[in-house]
Amino acid sequence: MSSTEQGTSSAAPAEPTTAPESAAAPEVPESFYYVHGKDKVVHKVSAGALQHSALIHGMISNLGYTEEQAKANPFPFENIDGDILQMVVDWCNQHKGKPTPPEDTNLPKQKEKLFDLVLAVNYLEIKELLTYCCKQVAMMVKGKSPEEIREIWMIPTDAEDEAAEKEAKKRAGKEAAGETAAAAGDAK
Amino acid sequence: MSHFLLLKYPLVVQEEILHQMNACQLTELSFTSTRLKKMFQKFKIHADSVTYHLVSPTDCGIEVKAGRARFKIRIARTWCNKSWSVWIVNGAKMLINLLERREMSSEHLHQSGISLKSEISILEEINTHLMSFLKVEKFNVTILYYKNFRDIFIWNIVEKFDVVRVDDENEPEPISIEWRNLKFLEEEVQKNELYLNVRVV
Repeated sequence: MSSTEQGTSSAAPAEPTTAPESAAAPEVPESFYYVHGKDKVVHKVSAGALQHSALIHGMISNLGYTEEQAKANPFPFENIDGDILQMVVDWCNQHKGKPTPPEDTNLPKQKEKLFDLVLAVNYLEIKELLTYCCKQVAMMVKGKSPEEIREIWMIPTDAEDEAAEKEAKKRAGKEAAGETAAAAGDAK
Repeated sequence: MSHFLLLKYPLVVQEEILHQMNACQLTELSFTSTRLKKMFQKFKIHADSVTYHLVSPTDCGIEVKAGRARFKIRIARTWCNKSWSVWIVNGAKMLINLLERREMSSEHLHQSGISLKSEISILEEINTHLMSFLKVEKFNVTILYYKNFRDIFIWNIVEKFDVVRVDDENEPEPISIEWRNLKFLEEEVQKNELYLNVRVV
């Protein structure tokens, strides 16, 4: 199992704050957690960056998952590809403790990657990143005709739906006939 | 053209994507497939206003506005040489012509010359289709003729109009209107504003 450290720094403050009293207060060492995707590559992420993910934040705060436990057993996200998880971790690190900008231009332009990223972000419950990704998906069809959009989104036409339904009925009928014949054979 | 399987997404993601799009674009899209219309029905799409245009008994229309975008369907007995498209309205096929498509607006014309149905009944079908997934903030109506408009379905489906207008903005001449129709608009129709430029006949 290999390990990567994604732009994290133990010297960074745990929470950004503007209060002058807090600035004078001694720095609290930042805690780190570990996650891995389908490729088993472990990513070290600070607790501050993980705040973006409601799922992981909930696991930490509700289940009392400690840093030591996390180090021994990284959060497994077997349904997320390694490169996609890397993108998510990068985004969380970049936006750690910062207000999220209205636009994010660093999202992947390839449709396949974006499709997987949206699924991962939805699973990890990262609200702001999900909004960016969905905006990107909506932008992909900007200026296209309705018929082009339907094709890009792979929505079947009514005729295709009807044909598929007929086919399914035919198949179900054949299977039922096959079962009846088999049952009759058994009875003999 | 590369593809993107929208239907494979969880509902919450589908909803977020649709919310990032304009209601006018989605309205136009709803006519391409029953499955898409059903998807929109699940989420309800917000539109700022819907305006009914009653120009004459054989010329009427409906206009959806959302933000700066506008989507207008006109139903009239006019023939034009543009190419035909098929719309799926409540599961039935309808032939339409695209009159105009700009960045923020599009206009369609239904060629009712090939239809046995009246323009008003086609408008009603299109309206049923749109109301099945649109969540409309305001309804308006513009009437430019004086006979029989009380029989039109809109008075039964809209509880309260924002603006009722019997006034041709492009024409300074008053519109002739029957006394009973004027009384109906003033007393029976619920509205916030009523604009009249009429002559009682």
